[in-house]
Amino acid sequence: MIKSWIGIACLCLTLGGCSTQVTRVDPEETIDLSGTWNDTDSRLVSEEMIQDALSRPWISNFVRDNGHPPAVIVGAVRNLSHEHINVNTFVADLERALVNSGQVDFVASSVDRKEIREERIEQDLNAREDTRNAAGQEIGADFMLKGQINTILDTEARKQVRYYQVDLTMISMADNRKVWLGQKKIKKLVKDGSVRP
Amino acid sequence: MRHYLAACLTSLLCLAALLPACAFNQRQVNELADDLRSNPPEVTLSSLEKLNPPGRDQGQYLLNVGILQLLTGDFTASIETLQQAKILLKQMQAISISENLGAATINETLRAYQGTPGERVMVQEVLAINYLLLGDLEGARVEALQADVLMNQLTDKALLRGQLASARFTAGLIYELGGEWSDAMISYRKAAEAMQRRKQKLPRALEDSLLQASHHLGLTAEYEAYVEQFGRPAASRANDQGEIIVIYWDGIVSGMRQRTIAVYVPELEQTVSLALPYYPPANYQARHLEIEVAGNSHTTRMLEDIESLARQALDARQGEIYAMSLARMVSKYQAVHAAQRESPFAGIVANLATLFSEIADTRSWNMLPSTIQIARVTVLTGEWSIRVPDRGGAGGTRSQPVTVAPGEKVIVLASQVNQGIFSTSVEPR
Repeated sequence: MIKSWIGIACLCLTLGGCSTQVTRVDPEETIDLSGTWNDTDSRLVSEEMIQDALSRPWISNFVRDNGHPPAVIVGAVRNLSHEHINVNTFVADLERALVNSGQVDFVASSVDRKEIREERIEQDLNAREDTRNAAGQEIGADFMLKGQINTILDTEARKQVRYYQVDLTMISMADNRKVWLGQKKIKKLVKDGSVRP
Repeated sequence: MRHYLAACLTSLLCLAALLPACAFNQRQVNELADDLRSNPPEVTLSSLEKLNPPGRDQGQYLLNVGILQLLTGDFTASIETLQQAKILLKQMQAISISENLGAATINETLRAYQGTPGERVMVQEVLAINYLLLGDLEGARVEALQADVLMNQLTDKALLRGQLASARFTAGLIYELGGEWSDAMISYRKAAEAMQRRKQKLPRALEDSLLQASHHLGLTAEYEAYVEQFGRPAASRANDQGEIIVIYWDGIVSGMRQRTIAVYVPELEQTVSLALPYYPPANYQARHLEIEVAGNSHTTRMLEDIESLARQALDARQGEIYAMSLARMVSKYQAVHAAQRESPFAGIVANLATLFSEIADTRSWNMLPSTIQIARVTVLTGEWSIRVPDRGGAGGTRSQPVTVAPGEKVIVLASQVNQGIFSTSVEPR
């Protein structure tokens, strides 16, 4: 008995962590650890949104009426979910895909604009005349991209259903019309382990 | 055989020598929490960060570091630390067979710190306040939602396990600031319900919140019931007025202590030692923060009695603690008995080792305030004064200015521990 008691006691005292291991993986590979929002969810949202945004007629309609590609500005994408989600990842993916398609121009957001305008004022004071960029030459946005992420959680004991809905909306700056509505839904069943080492 | 026994006895002695380190770490953390009553949080944080707690105490360590970081004004670091604590405490809710074996054979401190249900909700509440003070209403809203999910998980019809009125009120405030009045109404109702079930008097600020939200939503019957119950209508606010909403943390919650009972049991022919955690009688005297507005003084009132919650959490665990102590007593007796059969000397050594290894689990989030108090005051725009009670409890106060712009709601976190205030202004949506 004493042997087993000491054995258990020593085991309990010496249980420790192993050293850190790093394995490089493909960024496209799906790895779900905690069940919360991760890179795969962000990628799924951006893929869906890009495909949908480029296949809808709002771009061609605008080009037909105005003769040039629409300029878009990214507005607020609100996180109304149960998690701290970085919305910039899929918004940046969407922005990149639309710009690279050559069908849409993006203009800087209000935060970026402020920095750029400050730099322009700096240029006015310090840059050589033939390299200065004049003020008042900015392109006004034709559309604003806005959106939100919502979640519904259903929890019972150590099981949880996590439902995410991402809605993006392209709103015309001229008349507030909503010209494109993108939506992606993701549902996960998460089971927390009931035993740990 | 004799060599093996010698090795076993050496291990036992090492074990007995090592385990008091657990008690030492617990005692140090308790002493640091006591020091907070007289020292600034910066000093305590610096001392706490010098400790190197074992992995199983990491949860408690992170909670205490996180709250001290908030009290020193480092909200970003506090968020980072408390997010880690939150994840760790969630992971620790799963059962560990090795830790349970350790608790059944050696002592309860071999279990990883799991936090009480109330502490787990409180992490979310403190995180929400951190985000609010950083001006990140969306971040605060995430914590409010998570707190709601957690409280719904913990809810129990008979008990109020993990149901914090302060977490509900903070959530209500966050929704209100975001213009989500129906969610705010639900949270304020739940805050009031938790207090009423604990037979506590609602603070005026919560009454005002219920009046405002029900009035705003046009819930006529409910609003009129509140008007009758509280004896006043919802306060109207002119365009040139703003509001100061104060969350005040008073005192430092008591820490647990260890009570050791060593009894010689003739039938077992050995001394049996039991170490049990207990809370000493609370000698906490609530003090209140004052807001001076145009010659009138408004005081904060209690929303959460953390002193009582901590004691209730220990009471709820008593059955489990006694059952585990009994299991441990039996396993230790059998170990000593087996050693005695080998040799009387081995029996003595084993008995000593089992006595020394008996340590109560006195870990808790012991740097929380004793009470959380609130006040809401509608004010004209301008600079107003907030008087925070002195840390020493001698009766003095320290004045701090708060500036309010038209239509603004200024959220203030004040603590007796840091003697200062942190504030953020929100333009309601």
